[in-house]
Amino acid sequence: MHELSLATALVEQVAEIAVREKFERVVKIHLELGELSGVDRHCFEFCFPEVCKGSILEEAQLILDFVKLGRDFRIIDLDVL
Amino acid sequence: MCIDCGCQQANKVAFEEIRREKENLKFRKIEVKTSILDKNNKIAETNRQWFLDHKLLVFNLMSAPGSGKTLLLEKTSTRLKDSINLGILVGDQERDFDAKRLEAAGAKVKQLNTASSCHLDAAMIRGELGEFVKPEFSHLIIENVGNLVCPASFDLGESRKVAILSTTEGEDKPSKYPLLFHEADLIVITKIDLVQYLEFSFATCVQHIRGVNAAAPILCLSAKTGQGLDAWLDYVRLGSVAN
Ligand SMILES: Nc1nc2c(ncn2[C@@H]2O[C@H](COP(=O)(O)OP(=O)(O)OP(=O)(O)O)[C@@H](O)[C@H]2O)c(=O)[nH]1
Ligand SMILES: [Mg+2]
Repeated sequence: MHELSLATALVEQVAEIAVREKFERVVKIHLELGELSGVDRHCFEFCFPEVCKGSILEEAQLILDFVKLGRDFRIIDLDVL
Repeated sequence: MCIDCGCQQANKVAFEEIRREKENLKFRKIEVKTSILDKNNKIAETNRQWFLDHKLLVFNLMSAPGSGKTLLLEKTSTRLKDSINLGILVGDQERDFDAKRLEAAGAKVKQLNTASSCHLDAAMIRGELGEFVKPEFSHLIIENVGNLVCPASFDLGESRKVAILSTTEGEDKPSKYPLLFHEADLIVITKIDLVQYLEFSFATCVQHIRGVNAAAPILCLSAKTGQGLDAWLDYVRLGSVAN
């Protein structure tokens, strides 16, 4: 149910990294989603593109690694330009 | 080039490919490896430090809607308001019904409305530190938004997470919503006065709880009749189950 706020937090976090690492666009974002993280995968995949509109993630390809019994929901890495 | 044979289109495709290839060469990979909840977790840590500095014992109460969080807090407030300096923050999506009920029970209380959000987060609590939440409070109880899923993921900086399960919800909720019960420091089974009307087995319920949480103490009570309430009041006072 909080996938929308997580997607928003994710976009904010990437924007902060962009300032620090000096990039303008994300081509690919690679996430790890643990089974026990409380995040519903389908719901997140639905929200994510909406939240990305107009951001540096707008055209980013989303790669989600689902981890059985994992607890984390985190960014692994970003391909950026 | 002409407009008839499609060579223009072909060129466009070729240009696009070249552009992609060039971009590919310029890709940079940035390792991140931080949790998406990182921001919330960091704020929660600063809250936790504030609570430590001012010696506040803080409880985060979580349950399904209507399990009886507010009634339990009304009774708690009535019984403890002369012996501890208790503040209560109560979260709901909309309205201030719960705060009004708690005020009527004599509590120092503030309602937080989360609007579109299904849980409280650490930043909402931070906004109250030094404001509603006074350094001289000895205890703070936070009633989270009624929801068995989302609040479990958001650390508020509390000292204790309390999961409440009412008998009318059925014994199996801990297995169906494992995260909240897994994270809990204390599990309260409430509305035990209703067991006589239900098919509810304490043994089965405890089995479901132990499947996801091996150690947390379990208290059984009725906020309505007061049965079992003393053990809960001791827990609030001390932050642990009295022997
Ligand atoms: N019989 C009985 N009824 C209870 C008990 N505790 C709460 N109730 C009733 O259950 C209903 C819901 O209680 P609340 O205290 O509003 O529940 P809540 O968890 O705060 O609800 P939300 O804030 O909406 O999530 C009310 O009608 C209470 O009177 C109990 O121990 N026994
Ligand atoms: Mg309530």
